[in-house]
This record gives sequence, C-alpha cells and structure tokens, in this order.
Amino acid sequence: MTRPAARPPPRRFGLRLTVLVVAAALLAAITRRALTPALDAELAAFDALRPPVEVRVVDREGRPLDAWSDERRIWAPLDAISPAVVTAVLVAEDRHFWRHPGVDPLGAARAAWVNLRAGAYVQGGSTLTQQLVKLLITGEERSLRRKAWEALLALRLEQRRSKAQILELYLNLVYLGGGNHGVEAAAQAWFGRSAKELGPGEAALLAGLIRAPSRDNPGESPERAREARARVLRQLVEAGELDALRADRLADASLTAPQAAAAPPADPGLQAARTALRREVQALLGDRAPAALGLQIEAAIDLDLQAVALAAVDAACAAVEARQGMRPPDGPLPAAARAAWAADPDGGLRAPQLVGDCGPVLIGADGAPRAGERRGRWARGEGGRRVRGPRGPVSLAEAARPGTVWQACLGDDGALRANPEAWVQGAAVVLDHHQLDVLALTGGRTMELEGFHRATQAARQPGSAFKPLVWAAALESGLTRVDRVLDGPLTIQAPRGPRGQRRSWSPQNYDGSYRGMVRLEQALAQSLNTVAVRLTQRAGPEAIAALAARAGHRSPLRPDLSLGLGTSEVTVVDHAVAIATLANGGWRRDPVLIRQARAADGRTWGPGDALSDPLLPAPVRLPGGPATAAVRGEAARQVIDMMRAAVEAGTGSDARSDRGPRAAKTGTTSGYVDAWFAGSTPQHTVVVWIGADDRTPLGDGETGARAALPAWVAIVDALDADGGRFPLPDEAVLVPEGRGYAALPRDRRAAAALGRPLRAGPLPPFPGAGG
Amino acid sequence: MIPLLLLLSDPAGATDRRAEALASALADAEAVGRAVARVQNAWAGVVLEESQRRRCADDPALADRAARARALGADWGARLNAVREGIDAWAPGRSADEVAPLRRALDAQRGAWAAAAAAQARLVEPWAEGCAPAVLPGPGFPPSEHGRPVDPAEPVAIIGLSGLLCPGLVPLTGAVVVVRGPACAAPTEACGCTPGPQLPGAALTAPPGGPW
Repeated sequence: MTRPAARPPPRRFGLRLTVLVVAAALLAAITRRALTPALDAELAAFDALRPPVEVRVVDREGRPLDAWSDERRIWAPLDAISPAVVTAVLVAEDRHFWRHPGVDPLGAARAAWVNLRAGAYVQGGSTLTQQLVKLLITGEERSLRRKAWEALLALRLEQRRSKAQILELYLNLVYLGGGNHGVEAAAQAWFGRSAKELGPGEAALLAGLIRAPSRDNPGESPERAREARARVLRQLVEAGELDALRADRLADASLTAPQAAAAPPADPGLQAARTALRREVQALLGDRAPAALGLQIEAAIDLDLQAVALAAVDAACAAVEARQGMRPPDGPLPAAARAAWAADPDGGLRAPQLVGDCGPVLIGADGAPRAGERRGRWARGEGGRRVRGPRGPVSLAEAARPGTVWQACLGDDGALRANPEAWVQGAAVVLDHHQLDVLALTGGRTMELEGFHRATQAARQPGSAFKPLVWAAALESGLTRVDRVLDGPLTIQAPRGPRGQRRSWSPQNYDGSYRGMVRLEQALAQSLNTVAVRLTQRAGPEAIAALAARAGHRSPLRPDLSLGLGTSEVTVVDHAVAIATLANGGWRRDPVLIRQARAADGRTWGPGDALSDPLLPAPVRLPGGPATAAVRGEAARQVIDMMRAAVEAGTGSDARSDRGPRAAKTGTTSGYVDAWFAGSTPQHTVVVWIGADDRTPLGDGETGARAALPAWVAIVDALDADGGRFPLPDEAVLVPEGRGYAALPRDRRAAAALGRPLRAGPLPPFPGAGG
Repeated sequence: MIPLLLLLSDPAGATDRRAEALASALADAEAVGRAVARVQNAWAGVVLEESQRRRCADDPALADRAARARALGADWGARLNAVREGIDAWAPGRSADEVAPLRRALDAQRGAWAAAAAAQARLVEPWAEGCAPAVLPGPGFPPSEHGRPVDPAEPVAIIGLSGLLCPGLVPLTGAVVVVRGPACAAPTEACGCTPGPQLPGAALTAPPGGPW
C-alpha cells in the first residue's frame, strides 16, 4: 500500500506567503532606506528652486515701464489660476493626479493602449509629478534606467510635497510656447487676460499646448493651435467635465489674437529711464537674483513727466540747431574718391534710388546734387536751410559746394531733401525732494537701451552751474550772503611749466567788465568769475571739492583754483543731487529710482531697506533712506536765497515765475561747449544740460540761459504748482536783511543785527517777553 | 551749533560733576534754542514768504507762534545767563583747557540767541504789535528738511501750559520744560495720558485742553 503523497498542509502555504511578503517588505524597506538619501539629494533641487520670473517695472502710477527676463514667467499661486485651467491640464496630462502616489501604472498602460490603437502618440503616460521631475532633474534622457529613477523620484517627491504644491509648481513651470513659461504668462500673451479669468475654451488651448508648445502655439500656427484645443475639448467631454454641445461651440470659436496688453510701451524715449533702472538693479542684485526673486518693481519715474522732459530737451536741442545750423553729414569728398565716383557713379556711393531712400549725394559742378546716375535737384526751400559752416551757420545752397557729399533723401516729387545730422544732445534730471525720487531722467534725444546715458555717464564741465557749491563752501568758511568781495582784475601765478617757464592765469567775467566790491548775492546772481576764484582761494579748493562730494558729486574733482569756475567734469545726475542737497537745507539724500521692490513670495522693500536673501552673498541696501548732513544749514539756505536772486534779477531771469519761488543757476563753459541750467523749486530740483557728444562748441551766444533754460522752464512748468517754501534749517536764524530776510550764521556777527554788540555780561531780555 | 560732546572730550572735564552739570544745562539750553529757531522759522515761512501778509489780529495760529517764540526765547536767555554764572563760579582754579570748551559752547549759543533776538525784535514784534498774542495748546515743529533724522533721545523744549508732565509729575505752569523721550500732560498724579514723542516748541496742556 502506497502512502499517498503528502500534500502540504495549507498552513505551510500560508507560511511561505507570509515569508515572501515579509521578505518583500524587508527588501522594500532596505531599498527605501538605501535609496532615500540619494533620492533626497536629487530632490534638493526642489528645495532650492527659484524659477526665474519676468522682472517687471511700472512707473509711480502703476503704468508698465519695462520688463525683462530670460524666461517670460509670471508666478501665479494655485488659487489665482482658473479651475478651468486646472481641470483641462489634469484631463489632458494626468487624470488620476489626485489619486496616484506619483506614478500611475494604470494610466501609463491606458496611454500605451490608446497610442497603439491610434497608431500615433496621442496620450502621455507620465504623471504631472514625473513630468516635473523630468523638467527639473532628469531631463529628456529616455533610457529605461532613467525612467525608473524618474519614477522613484516622483514617488519620493509626492511624499515630501503636497499635491497642491506639486500642481502649482507644474502650472508655473510648464513651457507654453512663444517664450512663455507657466500658465499666467501664457494666458497674458495668448489671450491678454490673467490665468484666473480663463474659461474652458482658453484653458483647453493652454492644456493642448503642453505637448508641443513651440509647434502648436497660436503665434506659430493658429491651425495647429485649434487642433490642440479641439483635442483637449474632446478629452474634457470624455471625462465628463464638459458637455459635447458646448465643446463643439468652443472648438468652432475663433482663436484670440496673441496679445501684448501688459507689455511696456515701445517708446524709445523711455530707454533712458529703463537703462538707468536696469543698471541700478543689476549693480545692486547682480544678473540672476532679480529674476529668481521674481521682482516686481515700482519705479520712481513718472511717465508723463518723462515725456515732458524728453520733449523739452529735444526742443531745446532743435532750437540750438535752428539758430546755429545743422551739421553737414560729410566733408568734401576726397579727391581720390571723387575720381572713383566720376569713373563709376554707382560704385562708391549707394545713392538713394527709391522714394524715401536716403543716402549720400554728390554736388556737381553746377551745384545740383547727383545721386548715382540721377541728376537731382534740391527740393524747394531746402537751399535756404541752414547748416554749420566754418565761420557760423550758412544756407545749404552756400555750403553745398561742388564736390561735397551730402546725406539726402529722395522725395515723392523726385527732388532730394538734405538730411543733415542732428548734432546737439541734451539730458535732464528731475528729482522730487520729498524722498529724492527720480521723476524723470533723459539720456539724450535718442538713446538705445543699455546705450550711452548722457545723464549718468557723460562727464561734462558744469561751468558756472557749479558756483552754488563754491559759494556754499565760502559761507561755511564764515562769510555771509551780505558780505562783500572784490570783483576786479585777478592774475593767478600757476606753478612753473615743465621747462621752467612762468605761467599765469587771469580769469575774466563773461562780459569782460568789473564791478568793484560786490555782495556775494550779486556776485552769484551775475555769475562773476573773479569773485568765484577769490572765494575758491578763501575757502580752499580741497574744501570745495569735499563739500561737493558730500553734497552728491561722485566724480573726482580737481582741487585747483579753476574748480571754482566749474572746470572739473561731473555728471548731470550727480549735479542734480548736489543742487537738491542745497535746496533741502544741506541734507543730502541718495536719488531713488526704485520706490518699491516686491518679491514673488510677497516680501517688499522700500528705499533704504536692506534686502537679504540666500541668493545674495550679503544684504543689499536699496538707495534712499534718511538724509545725511552735507552742508551747514545756514550756508545751504543762503545759497538758495542767492540762487533765487539769480532768477529774480540775474542770469536766470527768464525762468522767473509767479507760481512760486525758484532758485537756479546758469552754466556756460569756455567756448560755449556746454550749456547748463540747474535749479530748484521748494519741492523739486531740475538740471538740464545741452551740448554735443564730441564737444563741438554749440555756437556763439549759446549760454546756459539761452540753450538750456527753456527746457528747464518747460519741465518746471509741467510740475504741479506746489508753491511751498524752501526749508529754514534749525541752524539758520532769520534776521532782517534786504528784501525780506537772510539766514545768517549764529555767530557774533549776528549780534550786530540787534543794534548793539554782545557783551560778556548777562543777556538782555528777549524782545517781547518783558523784563 | 557746536556739539557739546566734541567740546567736552577732555577726560578731566568729563569726570568733573560740576562740569557735567554745566554741560547738561548747556544741552538743555541748546534744545530751547532749537525750539526758538523752529518756531521763528515756522512763523517766518508763512509771514515773510507769502505775498499776502497775514495780520496778527486775524490769525491766532500765527500769533501763537509769535507768543511761543517770546516764551522760549526768554527761557533760553535765562538758561544761558545761569550757565554763564555757573561757569564764572566754577572756573577759578580750573585750567584753561577745562574751562575753554564750555565757554566756547556758551558763546556759540549766546551768538545764536542774539540773532534770534534780533529777528524777534525786527520782524516778529513789529508784526505782533497791538494784538497780544497768546500761546495756544498745540504740537511742536518738525525739521523742515526732508529726511533729516530725528534722534529720539535728543532733549526737546516744550511749553507746559497746565497739568502735570508725565512721566515725572512736573507741574506745568506756563514755563518752558525740557523733556527727554515721550511725554504728555495729565490733570492728576495718576498720569491718565499716553506719553508720546514731542517736537520742539510744543505747547502741552492737560485735558480737556487736549492731549498733545
């Protein structure tokens, strides 16, 4: 009898299963323990994630001024994204997002089946979490090992981050074509609306772009964009998120034309302000941090005033050109070139051939312009246009001698119009004293973005516009507004030259005359050079340079006697700060271009605030904040009073106004190379400079009062009629003097104003207070 | 004004209690002088710079500034006289190095007082003639320059019109008081007011006159 084969008791199967499960769990635990550090190390990228966001700048009224970024992205928290967008993206990319642990085997299998049936790639198998991991860590590598690692990372990421965090990250990082990253930037670009305002049709389009954003976006191919939208709309219907009728209607709807609603204006006049802001942001925070912080900047610039300043400077430059003539664009054609041109009229010169074309033309022996083979004629009236000749402005007909070459444009009447070059440039800075906000900043009549900035970079002699600082130093040395100084011939013995020759220098007044003993106020109002040099001798060039530096000048100033005549070169913006210091009672503030900076995480900084972030090696303080004492209060106030006299009855009298007090000073450098007008109202400081980039003289009579003052007046007139009063510092005590009062220093001299000397004994009763 | 700490950098003078007391009295006087300048400038800014001159009798607020300038100016002069007498009494037997910084600081303030007195005599008093200006309760005057920092520890001269100064319970009887830090005027010793920062030249009165 054979014993039947022993069947394993059911108990043993259960035991084996248990052992298997335990072993698997053990293996999983060991694997997990072994892999977790490696996974976490890779996922550290998420902890340090600061996706670059478009840096946006608005003016002080909130109007778009500038925007820049490597990736156009506008960060939107999840609750600022329309549910329709969330639904469309999840339906198109990851239907089981809320249920799976980071990977979705069923979803992957279904996607494979759908793709197989369709014979094409219709549906992706990666979850949003996997796509995010691929986007930030693993990249596009498609090896099996890499896919497995990607899945493990996705599983681990879901343990470390909430679903909402992962979804928010994805919706802000995903590329949606046209340089737009994230749904907010894409919504604004493609629909001109925010992502929180989108309906299902627009949401379907965005979701449809994820698969091939560069190819399918509406800007590239409207037809493909419609197909992408239709595909997602169908998926929404299949998922029960949209009824078929509405989906059909939405699929038939026309695409919204790509928008640029929030884009900053393309006005080239804003380039100076943009350039200054970009350079300041970069100097403070470097290249990477602004975008990584997602800075949204409110600039101090006022776009309206910026336009006024630009127009005023342009008009002032054009006025100089009208008086002095335009610049001939080219000299006479050299003999060799002329011979070559005669041999081949089309060879050397690309003459204007079509209406509107501009190019060089040669003046023939008969005085008529020749453009290539075409014998042209000047347009009627052009012959009377004035250009600069060697001895002053002359008519075009006179200047266009045979053999000279001119820039000309072909008109629709077949005539040529001379197109002489604009050669006069200018710059203006407008500061608001309250916080020293830079309200307007022009860098030239035309300026390229990141180009040469004439307000911040051009170093020019200020001439007499520098004198207020000389007078301030003289007052700090003990003089007062009513003291008298000799305006008379003066010869300065300079150090011997390199070959031992004697050298001397005799400063002259503009009009060549002398007035004898004059009050400081009169000397400043009439801009007397001999007095300026005597005050420089008294105060000392080093003291003047030091005061100017305290007041705002950052350029190195040469501490010699000519400093008093403004021979050391300065920038327009620095001089504006220095004049504003005087107008603010001697208290200097740094100019503020950035009124507020807001990071994507909601932190905000204002002027003077310290901005610290792990992205920065050290905290950075934004310009602004409390003022520092730069010039003694009574000196600053007296200089302002004297500058008021310069406007009331001096060289700046054309700036006089009954709208409120104005204090200003003209500046004209030797040979009429630079023209300045620098001054303040109680609330604002405006400085205007006019000159040529190559330092060509502006022309006889082009003084600061003639060339620069009109622009200053136009700008100040456009400012609010704020009236107000210049500050009377604590250190200044008013005493009756001349036309009102003068602020005199608190020294024994002031005692004389009491009408009796101050003796060593007890002080008498205070007036009005009785015994 | 010349910073007193600079003038008193000499260690021997700094350790002398009487010298310290004199320096402290000079600092208080300087605070009163600052208040005089602020009040006079606030008056002048309106009266002298406006094309339409206001009349004292028609403008109690401006007349109040003239009256505050009188009260503060008189107090300033009295303080400077007291400091002068103090220095005269203390100086014999002291080295010139000890005495000179105090005298310089005093002389600087006397010069400033003279200028303020000149302004009062030539401008304010003729304007106020015949209208009997009176001090009214009201806040003091901030610096007129934008962004000029204010040191909260700096002594501030105010005019105490009525009540008790809190903290400190100093009776306010119309005289000038120099305060350091937040202060207010209360009707009783319970100090039922909230001390706040004061500006030079403020005129404090206990409620119901108004909690300044």
